[in-house]
Amino acid sequence: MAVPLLLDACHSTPQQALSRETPTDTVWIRGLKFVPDTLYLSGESRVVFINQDMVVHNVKSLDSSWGSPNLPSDSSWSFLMQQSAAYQCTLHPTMRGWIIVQHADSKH
Amino acid sequence: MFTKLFAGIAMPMLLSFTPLLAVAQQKPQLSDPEIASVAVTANQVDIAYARIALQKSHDPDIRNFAQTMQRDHQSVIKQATALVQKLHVTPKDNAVSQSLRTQEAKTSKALKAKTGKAFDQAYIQNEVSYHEAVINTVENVLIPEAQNGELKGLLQQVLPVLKEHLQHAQAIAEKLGATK
Ligand SMILES: [Cu+2]
Repeated sequence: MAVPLLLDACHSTPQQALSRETPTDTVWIRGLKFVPDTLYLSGESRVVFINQDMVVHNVKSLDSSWGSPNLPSDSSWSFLMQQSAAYQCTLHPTMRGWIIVQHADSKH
Repeated sequence: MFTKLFAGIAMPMLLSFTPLLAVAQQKPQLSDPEIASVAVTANQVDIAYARIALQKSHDPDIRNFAQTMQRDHQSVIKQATALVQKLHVTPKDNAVSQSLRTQEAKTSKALKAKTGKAFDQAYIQNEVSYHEAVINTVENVLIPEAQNGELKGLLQQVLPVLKEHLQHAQAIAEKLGATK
């Protein structure tokens, strides 16, 4: 879990340097869906997943590079997204979502 | 495919959905305490099937699915129980709940008689059919007939859970060559 959390200084865009805070975005889990199912991030951002369903879910990247524990009803989990990823709930494999990290610096 | 898979147990497997299909067609008038009883019983029945699968199957997809069934249907029962307590409603046993239990006993017996891949296929096919029948009943009987708004709301929240279970079961059935 520690490796992906390491910040890479050259990722910083001028905007991020100004705010000095990692932006946070939210994905709601409700009605057995990730809402929004595709989340666009301008640069790396912390994403909070909030389970509003009555059943337990999890959030795991399809390449197994990151994943949450089981998230009971009304609980949340967050992760610093540095790369685009497709993810699913392995308890309900029809639940899929996508994180698209758009880097301002296209050379990167 | 259906005939081939269930050659020996065609009757009990077919019969197992009759009560719910009949319910959906006949639309009996159910009171809220009766609806609560049917809802809890329908979830208990699927937990019973999941327990058999966890005892008998070694297939990772089947085991993962059965664990989800056990966990999710327990969550629904917990929510339903909390709601009826809050509303001071006592679930009332009725003909639909009774026939669900009777058919569960028959289907469980048929499932227990199978082993290996034949068991996995029979279990997942039953899950597809059972969820189809329950969705039909919840959508066309329980939700329209529920008088209390919170009970109706809970049933509406359960619907996407059941629909996801159905899609999940259908995907496994296809993978195992157990489609109708
Ligand atoms: Cu899930």
